[in-house]
Amino acid sequence: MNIQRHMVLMAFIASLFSVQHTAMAEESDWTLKTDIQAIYGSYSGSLSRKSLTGGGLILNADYLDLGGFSLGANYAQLAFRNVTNDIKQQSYYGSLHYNAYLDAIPGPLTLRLDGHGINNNDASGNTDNVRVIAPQISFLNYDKSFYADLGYAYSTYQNNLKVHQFTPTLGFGFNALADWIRIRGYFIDPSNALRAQNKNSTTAVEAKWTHWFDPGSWHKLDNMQIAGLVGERIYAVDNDAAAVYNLTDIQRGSVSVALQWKLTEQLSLMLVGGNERYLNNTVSDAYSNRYGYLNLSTQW
Amino acid sequence: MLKFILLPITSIIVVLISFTTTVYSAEIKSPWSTSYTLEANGEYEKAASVIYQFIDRGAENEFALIRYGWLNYLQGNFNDSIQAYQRALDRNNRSVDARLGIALPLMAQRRWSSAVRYLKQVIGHSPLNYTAHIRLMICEEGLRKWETLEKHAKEVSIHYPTDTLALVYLARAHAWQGDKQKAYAAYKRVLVRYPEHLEAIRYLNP
Repeated sequence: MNIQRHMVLMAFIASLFSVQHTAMAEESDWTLKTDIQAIYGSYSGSLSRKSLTGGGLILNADYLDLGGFSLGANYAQLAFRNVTNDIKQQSYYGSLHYNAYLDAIPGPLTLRLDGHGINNNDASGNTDNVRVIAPQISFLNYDKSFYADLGYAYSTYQNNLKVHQFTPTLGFGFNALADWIRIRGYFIDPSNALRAQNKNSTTAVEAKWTHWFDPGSWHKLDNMQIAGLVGERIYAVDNDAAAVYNLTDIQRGSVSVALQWKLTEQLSLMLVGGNERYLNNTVSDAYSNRYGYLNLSTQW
Repeated sequence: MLKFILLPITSIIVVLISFTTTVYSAEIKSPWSTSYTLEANGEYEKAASVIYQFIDRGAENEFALIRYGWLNYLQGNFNDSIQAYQRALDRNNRSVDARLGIALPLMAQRRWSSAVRYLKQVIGHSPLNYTAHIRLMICEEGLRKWETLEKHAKEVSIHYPTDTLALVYLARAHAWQGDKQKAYAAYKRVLVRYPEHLEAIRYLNP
């Protein structure tokens, strides 16, 4: 009986090795990447908001060059100046994408579908139980000198609010692809102006310039990004950052600088510093959020 | 008189010989031969259509598929090319030719990871396959895996010490990692093997 159990155990262990071996054989077919991120923001000039602290993890898995998925979770805490309790928020993110290679066009078309879920303890319920679904179609040419996408996001909020967002984007590379400029429009239509600072729609344009440095530079930087946003946007969904701005205030511009170091072939570090301006029409509260963001990305 | 009799006879013989040769040539001009001729003339679509009939039948259907994949690659029909090579692989999973072949349209579509998969399978079967190593280095460059490319190019250069390409990739890997001295050294070795190599000359004389 003992021998039989031993043999079963051995067979089980052997099967584990077999599974592991198979997984190793297919290892190169999947590329995995994890992003660990942390953010701290300090509100300046705000009547009520004090600071924002958060952290999260995103796992990306790509099967060869065909497509993949991402899963993410984030925790954030919004502190107030007055006696209002902190808002503690958990957000979840899932994304699927598929790359279609058509000989008729000189680059892949990527079809992507994102989903977000946000829960928090906001007593008003206005920023709690948020659900977002965001499809996107994008094109990047083989030379990586031209990019275009069209994104859409449909967000549902409690207390009678739905938000439609369209984000057409253009990008192009120049200077032997050492530089890249991307311009994205945000056209956002909240269904209920009373829940959107009396706005029926908002429009904003975001521009981002990325410069890749020559290897061997003294600062060891891989690239630097400078980004700015003009116009107004509310309840925006940022597909690149996998973030939903479920703040009830209007964002009226932002600037940021990002520095990225490639520490090894698999490991990179990004530091971002930025300033966002907001307005709460209801109580005439204009304020800004100065933030720092850290992202540690590992690929294997 | 004899002259007048011989002349028509000679003419008939010449015509007969000429006709026989033409018929014989037509008989030996196989679709394969036609396809090769058309390919040599740059008529890739016609060259592919001539052999298309063989991809589903006949003893040479595997060869026909690989050739059909190659001719579609030359036309820029990368998806058809991939499909043909994949069908060839389905028929003979041990084919090194089909794996090396399918890597080409995948690389043309910048699907580096997919190409790497097939090239590593070739290297798994045949560790020193030169073509696979060169194509793999191109993929590693496309993926910007400079450390990997550096190690790989060094290894290839050891096995193929007269080869220029491996040294070029080694130099590029050093340059992209910011190691100018090593890049200089590698490009100098390139110039020994290929004195007119423009990339090496430009790097060494900026």
